[in-house]
Amino acid sequence: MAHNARMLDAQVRADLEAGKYRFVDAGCGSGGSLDHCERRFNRRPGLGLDWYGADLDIAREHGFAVAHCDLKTIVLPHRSVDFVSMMDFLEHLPDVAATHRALEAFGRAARDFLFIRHPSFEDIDYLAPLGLKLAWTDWEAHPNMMRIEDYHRLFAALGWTDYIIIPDLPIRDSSHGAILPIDAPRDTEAYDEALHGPKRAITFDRVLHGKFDIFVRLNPSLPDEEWRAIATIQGWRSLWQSPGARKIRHDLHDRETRSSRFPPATQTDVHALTDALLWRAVAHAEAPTPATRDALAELVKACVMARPDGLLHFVHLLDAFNHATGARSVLAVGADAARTAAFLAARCPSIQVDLAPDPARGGYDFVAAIPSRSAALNWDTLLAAVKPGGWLYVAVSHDQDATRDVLDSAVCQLPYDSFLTANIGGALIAAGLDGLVAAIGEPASPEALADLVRLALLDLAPARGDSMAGPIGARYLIRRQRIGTEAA
Amino acid sequence: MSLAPIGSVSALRAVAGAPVSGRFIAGTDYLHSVTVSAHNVDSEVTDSLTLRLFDDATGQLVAAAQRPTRFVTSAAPLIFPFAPLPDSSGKAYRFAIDTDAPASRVALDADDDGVQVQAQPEYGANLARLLDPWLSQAGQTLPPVPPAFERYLDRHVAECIRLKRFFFLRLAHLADAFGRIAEPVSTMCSMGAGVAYQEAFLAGRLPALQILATDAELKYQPFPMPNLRFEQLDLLDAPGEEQFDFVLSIECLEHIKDYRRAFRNQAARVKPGKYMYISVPFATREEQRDPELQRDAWELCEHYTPGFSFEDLEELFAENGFEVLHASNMFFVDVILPVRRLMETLGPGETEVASEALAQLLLLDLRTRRANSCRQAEGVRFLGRKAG
Repeated sequence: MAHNARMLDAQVRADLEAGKYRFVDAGCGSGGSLDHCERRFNRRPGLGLDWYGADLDIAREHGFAVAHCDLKTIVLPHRSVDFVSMMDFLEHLPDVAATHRALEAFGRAARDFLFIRHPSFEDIDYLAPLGLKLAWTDWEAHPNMMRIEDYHRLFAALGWTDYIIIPDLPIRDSSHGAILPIDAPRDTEAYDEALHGPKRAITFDRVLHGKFDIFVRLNPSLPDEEWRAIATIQGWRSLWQSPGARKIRHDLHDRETRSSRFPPATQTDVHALTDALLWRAVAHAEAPTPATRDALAELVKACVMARPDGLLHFVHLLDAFNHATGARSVLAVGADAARTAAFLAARCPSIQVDLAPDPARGGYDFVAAIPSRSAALNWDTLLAAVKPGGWLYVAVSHDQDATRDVLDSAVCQLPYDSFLTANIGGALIAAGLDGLVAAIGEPASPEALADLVRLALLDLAPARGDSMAGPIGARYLIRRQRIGTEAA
Repeated sequence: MSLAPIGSVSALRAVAGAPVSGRFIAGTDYLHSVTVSAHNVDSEVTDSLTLRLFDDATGQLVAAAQRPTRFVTSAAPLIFPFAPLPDSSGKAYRFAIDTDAPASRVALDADDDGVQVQAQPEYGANLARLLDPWLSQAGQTLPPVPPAFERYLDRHVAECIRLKRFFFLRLAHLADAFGRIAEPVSTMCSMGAGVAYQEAFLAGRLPALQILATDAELKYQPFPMPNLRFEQLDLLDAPGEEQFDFVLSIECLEHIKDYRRAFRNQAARVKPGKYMYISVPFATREEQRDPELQRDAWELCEHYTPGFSFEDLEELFAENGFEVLHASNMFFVDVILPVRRLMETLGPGETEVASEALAQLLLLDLRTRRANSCRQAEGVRFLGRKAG
């Protein structure tokens, strides 16, 4: 008989009944929320549940215990875990009634508390007259856009009176990346000037919030002190996590969008590939002349030949730069960064590139630093060189512990509001490309050069094999807060 | 890339622009490259270095390779690849490296003992063990590689890579599926095995596994292994009573008009509660109706079925009482096409030197995501467990 995916696997159920897991994470996806809850509440192991098999495969590869099931109908063993978490999950259910059923089921399974993270749908009516919207308020995947008053009603119906709702992700003005022009396409994830055009610069007359952390206390005997430690967002405001402290699991969120822009694998023109990678920056740039094309190809070739990781640094840095919409001034530090920045300047002549901080510039829109193993960088100088609203890109290998520690320490003390991290150089692709280039030497044809770049692009969407072997480094794209936005 | 010294060359003048020469004794068979540590004194002057390798006993030129120096940087290993020399172990060779530009500024690193000359030690012990992470992914403990099979496995994997097409990837995907089985597998039967490249690798790597390789025609059997036997079997014939822990067919069903019957017969050979793996060409149901795809599938490959969709295979597995444990695409075009094109440009020595690197790049095909079209991925694979 075929397996019924709606049911929870008998072994998993038995494990839950035996008390193997401290918590259940509903809608665990690829494991990010499991990881978050393990660290946040210091209880492990957790069991992740989700419907999407591909995400669960990724979670398993990262060592999480997960199971496949339909969360709309699931029944879990009574009081089998300390708590159940639902991070960015309930809005995906069909309606409030389904949420009621789910909360009832999870409320029975948990001994101590429920933890819900819910995106805010409170300010749709406030933003609409301003010609704005929050990104997630029209996503097709969010049929259940419950507001806080809906939670109050639900909790009352379930007889839960001891709960805390804490707003988070304060948004004070329209410069925030989640604020979109109201006519931006449905399902847009973040504001992109190149795609959505200019948006109004408005300082809101009240603070909006992007999300709510909701804690429901189910166990009245849970000591107050412990409950206070649980029901708080203190220490969890920042997404920044020390790369040295844990394995990085986040990737830039627009990977799929970006991947779909790449020309097909039959394409053997390296310029088509790099333009696809830099699509925002080149959208308004002129097509390169034949001489420029030759120069660009030579720069790509130099990156290919800068073993061991020059080509991977090249594609990751271009990808990060593309993410930083509108950057016009670049500071590039380190040989790999400088080589790639030279490519940027050649492809987009309006971009100014410096290889050392120039005080006369008053800061840079984009600072790229790729420290070598032998040369330390002055992080204080680099961090200070980023303009408000500008971006810092750093790529470090996993053996550069000291570099990461210094970076952690420096970044945590500064007003940065956007942190995007990704693994870089999956072990297979890094060793494969390096070994191949060592064997063939300089690419003999434009087609061979394009094929090498094509393969390096695969590192932007890591393969399963790579995740098994582990990455060789990590990249960070960090946006400095814009302070003092313009008045409406 | 790890480099192991095969001997230092004394009395070598490492002066920029001057020819250098030396003698060494190869430590392995299939010597395929000489690697020197070089640095470019002046990157403005570029030239080509040519290595010539002579049999020291006969003075005969046995290999030559050329490398441009434009991108040589400080102490970079510079590999001179050449077609592998099968019986090189223990033989003395003399080499000479010349430049075509008298003003060359590339120097070979030297110290008081002369230039350190290095070469890839062997075909790489890594090739024999390359697939171990996948074979052991469910927590199985793999036996050590039997010393008697190490060279064989290295050569076998290298051969699969050298043959291009899908030989290595079929093996990698099979290893990935096999490794997903968390319980011991003692017996395995393969349908439509051909000359049994994949089966021979598993037989060498897992000596306790008893493998029966079957095909409608018994072909030349180039891989005699103690735990691999061959038998003639037509998948459309009624199955016998013998059942196995693991039954597989790789790109077989599409060649059979009545593939449902073939699948049923294959499924009948699986013990209750045990496992079956198939890989077949991929096409969505809509694509399967494309007359052009149908024509190409038949005329180019003699495929009665141009491809199978996930839905097709889910139905087949369910109809035959199997729970699907894993299903994913294979032969992703964005992986295999650039690798294949690059391989076309490689000479035999370069292919040999790069065999491990090529294998690593091809392993990027082991993805879990599903493609929307046969233009994105050419194959699909399923692993299932029989009820019981």
